[in-house]
Amino acid sequence: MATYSSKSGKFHPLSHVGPICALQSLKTLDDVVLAGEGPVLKAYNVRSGQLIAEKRVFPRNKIHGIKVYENTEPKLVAIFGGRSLSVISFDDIKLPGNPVRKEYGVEDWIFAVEFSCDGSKLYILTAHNVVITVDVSGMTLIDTRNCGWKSILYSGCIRSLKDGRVLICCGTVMDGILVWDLNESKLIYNLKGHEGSIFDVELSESGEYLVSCSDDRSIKVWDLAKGSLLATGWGHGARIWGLDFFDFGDQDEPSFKVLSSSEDCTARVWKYIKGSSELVQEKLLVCHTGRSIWSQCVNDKLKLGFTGGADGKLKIHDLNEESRSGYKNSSWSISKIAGQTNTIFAKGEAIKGYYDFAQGLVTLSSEGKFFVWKDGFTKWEYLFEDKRFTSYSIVTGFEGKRIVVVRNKEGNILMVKFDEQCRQVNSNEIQITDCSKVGNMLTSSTDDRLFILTESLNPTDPLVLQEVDEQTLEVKRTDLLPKPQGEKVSISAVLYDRDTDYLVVGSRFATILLYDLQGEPTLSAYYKNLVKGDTVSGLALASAKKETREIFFYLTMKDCRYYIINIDEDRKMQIVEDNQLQRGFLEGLLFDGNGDFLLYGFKSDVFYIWNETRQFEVARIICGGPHRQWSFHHSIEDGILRYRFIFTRASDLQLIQNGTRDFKEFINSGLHGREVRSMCVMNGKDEAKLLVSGGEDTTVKLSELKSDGSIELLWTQRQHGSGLQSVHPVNDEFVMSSSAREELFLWKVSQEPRSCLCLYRTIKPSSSHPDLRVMDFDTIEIKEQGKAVGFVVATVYSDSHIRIWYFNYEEKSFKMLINGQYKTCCILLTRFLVLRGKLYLMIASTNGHLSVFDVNSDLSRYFKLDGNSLTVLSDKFEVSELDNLIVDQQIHQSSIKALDLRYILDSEIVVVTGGDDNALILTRLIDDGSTISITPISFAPDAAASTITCVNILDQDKVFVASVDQKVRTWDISRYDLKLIDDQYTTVADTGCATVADFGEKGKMVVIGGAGASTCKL
Amino acid sequence: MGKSSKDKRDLYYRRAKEEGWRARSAFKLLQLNEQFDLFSGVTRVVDLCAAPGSWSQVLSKEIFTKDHSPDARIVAVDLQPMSPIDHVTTLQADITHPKTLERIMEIFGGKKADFVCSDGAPDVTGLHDLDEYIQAQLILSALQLATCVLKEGGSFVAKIFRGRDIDLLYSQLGYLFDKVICAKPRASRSSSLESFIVCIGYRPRAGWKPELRPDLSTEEFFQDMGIGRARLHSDLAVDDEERKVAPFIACGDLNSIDSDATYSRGEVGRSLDPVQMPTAPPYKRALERKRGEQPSE
Repeated sequence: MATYSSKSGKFHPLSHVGPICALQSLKTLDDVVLAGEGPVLKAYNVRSGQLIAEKRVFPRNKIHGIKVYENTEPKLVAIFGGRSLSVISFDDIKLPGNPVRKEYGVEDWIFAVEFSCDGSKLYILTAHNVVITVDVSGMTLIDTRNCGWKSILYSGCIRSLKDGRVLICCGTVMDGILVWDLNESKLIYNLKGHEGSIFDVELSESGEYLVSCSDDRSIKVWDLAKGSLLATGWGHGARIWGLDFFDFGDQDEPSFKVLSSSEDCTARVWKYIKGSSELVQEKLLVCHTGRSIWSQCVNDKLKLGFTGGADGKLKIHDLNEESRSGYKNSSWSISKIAGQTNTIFAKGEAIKGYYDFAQGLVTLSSEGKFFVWKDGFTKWEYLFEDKRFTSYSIVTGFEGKRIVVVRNKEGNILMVKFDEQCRQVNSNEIQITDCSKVGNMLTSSTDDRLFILTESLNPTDPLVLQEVDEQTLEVKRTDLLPKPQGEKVSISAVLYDRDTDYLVVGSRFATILLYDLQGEPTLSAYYKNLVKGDTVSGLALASAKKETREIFFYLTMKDCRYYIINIDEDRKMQIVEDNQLQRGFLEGLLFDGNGDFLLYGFKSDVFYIWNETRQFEVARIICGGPHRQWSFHHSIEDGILRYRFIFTRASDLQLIQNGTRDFKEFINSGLHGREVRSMCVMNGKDEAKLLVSGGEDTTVKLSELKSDGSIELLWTQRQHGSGLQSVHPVNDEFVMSSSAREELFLWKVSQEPRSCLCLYRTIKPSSSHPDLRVMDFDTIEIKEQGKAVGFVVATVYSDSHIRIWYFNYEEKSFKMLINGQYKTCCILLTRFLVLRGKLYLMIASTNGHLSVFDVNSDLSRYFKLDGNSLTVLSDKFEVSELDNLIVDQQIHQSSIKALDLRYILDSEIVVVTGGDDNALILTRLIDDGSTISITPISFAPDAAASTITCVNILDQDKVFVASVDQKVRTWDISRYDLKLIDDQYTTVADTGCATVADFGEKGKMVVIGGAGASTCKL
Repeated sequence: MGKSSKDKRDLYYRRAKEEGWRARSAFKLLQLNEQFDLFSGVTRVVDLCAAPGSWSQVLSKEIFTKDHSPDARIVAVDLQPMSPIDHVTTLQADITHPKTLERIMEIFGGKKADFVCSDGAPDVTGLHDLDEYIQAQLILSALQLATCVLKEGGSFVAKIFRGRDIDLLYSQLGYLFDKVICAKPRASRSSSLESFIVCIGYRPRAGWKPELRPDLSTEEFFQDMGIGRARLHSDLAVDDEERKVAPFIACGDLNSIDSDATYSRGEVGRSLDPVQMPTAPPYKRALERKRGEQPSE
């Protein structure tokens, strides 16, 4: 590994987030999981989530597999990846420091390794179906064997059996699975049944069973005693990459389970019962984003599954939720409830409404019978009957108060308070007299204030707000809240905030009402169509300031959008965050023990809880879909989310409650699920650095870039419809991103109430069916007395168009100033240039040309150039033609893929370009007062073995260059002459973008993006 | 991407359909030929991993000109079936199998080939290093056959992906050919890692006789050739393999169609059906199950 020295321009790798290609749990050490993250082996504690140890194992190759021999102390760990191999003692992993480890190698790609039963030998299966046997103590070759078939493989597995046999099992690239005996070098079976490449094969420990998966998206179970197909499982929506056995049943009940993981980013649990021809899917785990799950393992003792994704996430799955302490799954039919409570239900009488008050559930039947489900939801008790409360009653309550509130359509409101043993403590009845017919009723409460909000069925009636005393259940105050005149309101969510004394009411028709409860309650403001969608399904407080009466709150819309909204001291509403989930119905939000932002709702036939911060599904309960009576209760106990979902299905009441756990839900949250395409760094609060990244997975992510090089994901935005092209900051508050479908989005970075990105404005596409790619853009700020008021942005397109726009933060609209076309080729990059106080636009294209347009005459009509920013002279904007191409010179043979520049004088710029032609070129751009000339000065034709995709000038002396051959290099440019000073390998494949973060005294850091992201220090 | 949007995104795709090429990759070979004059004096050609056959179409057109040699022969080999093309003998066969070599030599009447090409690419998994390894194996399989059939001085052209170990391949090919060039036709998108290795002037290794045997893997075939490939050592030492960067040449006129550019509707016109429909994928049955259809047997 390279040593760190700032003078020589060498790199020191810091941190990496990227595809996790190998995972292994241990049998004798429960709480440890080993992960291969690039070339680094990491050991994590699954209970605390902490990194125990890490060691770089290979100089180049990624770790693709880990095998541990546990019958000896210290345990032996064999690690392989590509053609590289290493065997180390488990205790060595924990040693501090990172000693250079001996890397061994074979001549071919390794698919599997296995220790012999006594641990003295290691068997290595290569991609041409050859097994190399190695003596472990001396790491010397013993022999190589094959079964006569040397076809190329896609997968393999080796098992040392107790009876002395060593079975080799291989997945070929076309249909067949080969099973052979190593000792006899003899083929036993060529199992046919799959179609296409076999991506994983796994042998059971006894050698009795084999499971396989292939391109055909099925999983097959084979009997190895007979060589016959036993069962097939279908379900994954894309290719399946990994399989593991677990949970073998005993003699009486021969069965086992299989964990699978796939390109569809889900993992699934399957059950095989002897004699069945079907592998039955038991569980679906939606856990990764983007491309694929690349690795998995199972800890059979703890019943935990682990998956590692292309997104760099390491997720832990509970494979035995049902046995965790506190877990409940029960179902009660009407007759069962009647039987237990000795009551008689009328024909057709059903449970119509219920409220979960934490210790119990109060239910109301269609004939007015009240019951409580108590004693930890094991027993039912009949409470009373009140015939006034029948079919159209609403049952709700005050959260955390054990008070249930029931109203009928006549306006009778019954309140019943319970104690922790679910005994009735108090009750009271009130009557709404202010509306003719009572419609919806909602509640909101704080520590000491309880409100009931009721709406009349007559739309012109005001809302009725009643404050209730928590002890006596008497009405303390009743207020009539006027509705905005002429507006349709149909209340659906309510939030009372104690600090500001505001009542926020969400309604259908995307309307939000704000009532000021200080003094005589008034409608303070209402906001219509500021949020998109129809019905507000949930409201939750984020933060509020008592002095300024400023309030931040979260809002969910039923049609899957959610918002963070700020109402400032002038009662102006601003959207701080605006995002959406893909499909289904969004019902509400909550925060878990880590402070992660969770959303819940329905999609197709399931109820889900989704961790939006970390991007995985927390729970998925099959309930039949959204159209039913349901209740969702949640709390945080010892830092762990406990939830209970009760729903009605086919008139039965069903309850699912999760248990406790003593392990983490995830270890890493990862980053993009596909290649990172563009990145930039902005300054956050308190010297924090924020990394904004755009991926091929169509998301824009906001992360914190820490000074130790680690990247912590904060927020994910899903509003782009295709893979990202460019992401650049405008300043420390605004950032822009571009992609295909002619998408150009301006985002505002907010730090309150949490760090997130909010879509501020978009440039409208020029066509209703946009298929242009916005390849790149550059901005210049517009300032007024030192304050940023807007910017000018130049955009370049895949059809050779160039446009320049004006944007003002107040008006929030983009105005086109210049429009034109370069040629017909695709423009890849653009930069504004300032030469002798005049503005120019430089572009680089697929034809290898650097071109400069004079845009000064057009832009100087509106703006005055003031240093690096503009001031507005005139706002009588018109669109002019781009016609002043003053330089058009070929520099590279083909596409210029990367470019950076540095001003030498106000009339001279040094431009460094990298191309698809492997070349790095240093060019001088000089304005002699009358003409501008471009002269290539230094030329390195074979600067890389592949396309150069990143060029970042670090300072006056050095430029950082990265290329698709996974090389990062530094070149000296101090004498207008390119000289290579450092050349290193990066584990980031498809190396496509880089950005530099300046940590001041702590120095500069480079972030390299591609398949993952790595940080290194200069 | 729908049919018409693909048309706009890629004018080559559109033109391929208009001109009757089975795939847009035909233009890549045409542009390679423009640059390197690959076909002059060429009589016998082997097109490997040929399906659906656009390169064979180009070869047929370029070699069977009015005054073509009576010995002119084109053999197209693929594991997949291929519809017939004029003047092309198609073999549905494994390119690593010795039988395939025998059949090619029969068709050539025992004479060696002037030109061997391969436009083959495996299905990618997304694991970059594995995909690059599999692609390298595919090139080696093609090269293995090429060393058996190619005459001294003959040429070899194959699709490559310029990933992290491409310089190993450049170096190894350098032992076998006078000139090794990495060429990128304009018809190949710059956003793709795809390029073509153009190897001119085959020089058989002195003292080494190529021999295709079913019990030899491709790795073993090249083992004694002495082209700097890694070997298995008794102490499992890691070979520091030679690396070399091949010169890069962009081919095709700079003013020809840019495969990365978007063209407007006027330049595109009405959308056409592809010349050849794709073959059934292995996951066909999974799709049918999902749609609730009875899986076809």
